[in-house]
Amino acid sequence: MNRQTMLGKGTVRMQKSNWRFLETIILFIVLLWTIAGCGISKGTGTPEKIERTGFAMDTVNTLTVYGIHGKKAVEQSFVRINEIDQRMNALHTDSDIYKVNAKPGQDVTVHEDTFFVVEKGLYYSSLSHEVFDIAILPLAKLWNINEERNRNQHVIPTSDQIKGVTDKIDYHMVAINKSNQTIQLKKQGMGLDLGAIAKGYAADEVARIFKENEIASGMINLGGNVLAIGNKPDGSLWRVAIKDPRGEIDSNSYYAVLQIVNKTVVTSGDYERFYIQNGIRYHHILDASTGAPSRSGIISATIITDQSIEADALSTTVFILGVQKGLDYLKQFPGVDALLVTEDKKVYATLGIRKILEITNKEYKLQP
Amino acid sequence: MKKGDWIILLSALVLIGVGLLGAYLLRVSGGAPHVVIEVDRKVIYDIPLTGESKAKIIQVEEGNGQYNRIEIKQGVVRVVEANCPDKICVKWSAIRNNGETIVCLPHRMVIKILGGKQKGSIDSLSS
Repeated sequence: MNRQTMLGKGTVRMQKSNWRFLETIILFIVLLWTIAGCGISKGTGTPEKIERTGFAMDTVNTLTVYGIHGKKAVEQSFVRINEIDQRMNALHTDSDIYKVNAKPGQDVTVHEDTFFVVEKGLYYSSLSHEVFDIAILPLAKLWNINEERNRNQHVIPTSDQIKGVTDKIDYHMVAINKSNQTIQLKKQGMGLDLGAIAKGYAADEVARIFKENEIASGMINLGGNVLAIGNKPDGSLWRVAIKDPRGEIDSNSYYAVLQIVNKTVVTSGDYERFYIQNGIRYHHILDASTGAPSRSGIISATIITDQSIEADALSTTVFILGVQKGLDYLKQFPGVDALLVTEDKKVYATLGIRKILEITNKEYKLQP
Repeated sequence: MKKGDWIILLSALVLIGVGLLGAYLLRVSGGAPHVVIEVDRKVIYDIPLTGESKAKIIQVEEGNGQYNRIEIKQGVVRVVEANCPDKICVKWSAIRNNGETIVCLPHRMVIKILGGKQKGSIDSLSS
């Protein structure tokens, strides 16, 4: 005998409605599951991450953004970086800088971007106690820094050769006319090289484009020149590592980490382009006052501040000046912090960054 | 409701639970790891990164006779050969974690690992 017969018609109706109820529940749950599955990646509130890597300014540039206009921000930024490279790279025969360098004694009209960067470069040159000079090109060429790497042939310039170019390394001999937007090199054989500040300028420009596209969270890295916009999407601080100056050469080993919000971190080091000959390390940061790679005892100088073009100029200057003179020099720049490492792996940090600094490689000792 | 109904209901809930948990774990781990190779900002290859012991060799040709030979083996990616001037990409340490990259600047090539485990918590490197 089945239940139906036993319990009568009323029971049958109730069983049918039970089924319908159950079916509805199952359908609802499956629907919920599908929605949840789709929603898991987006429903948590994390915006989409766009990360792109491009090549310009003779280096690798990685841009990371979070936001609805992410793709547009990144594309516009790469276009802008290429534009800056084309205008300011001394080696590009079409660039403003190349044209200025090719016509000494003449007023050469340049784009307002180029004018801006040169004017800034002259400003930082004038403050730097003669160690930083954007008219460094003849010296850079002498040391073969810009040319194709000749790993097997290192010809160290003689002191006579260095003396021969010294009078051409002089930012005082660079005349600029703001109303006409022209630049003139007053002496034959002079040359501008914006390599020490162009990446900083480009990073600031990318930051501007990000903000125009309402990007509240982003990370800019132009050949190691870092600029962080806002916090990370989850509200945490950006963790920026500093390359270990004596770590494994072809790797991303680091000695310290800084936690930052809306700051730029720019490092000058003696480990990027160098060769060792007769036990001496010849690196690429030239001291304009000596005509040779600097020997201040600093192997890595990191500047942390708001504007990247300033960080770029100051990191080079402080690297050349050394710890004492460098820290004294920085006192005139408000809102600038520094992290300096000497050959003996001692680390000197300004007060402002001690709370956000973590030295991860214990071989490096933070000085009081 | 009958016992059978409860079984169906329970199974449905378990399936959903597993589904949600899986989706969550996948999101947390960044998805299954894969190797993305780009030349001049264009994705040329996008391959799953497995722990297979049999080596997978990819020859990336960037034009003008330029090339980089990449090996993927046991979840590790490295450049084994290249004809760029300095061969920095060849000397570079092998990569295996989410976010790690190997770059060949003269050939405008980038190898990235996306998804999978993230080693450490560094967002960018200042150098």
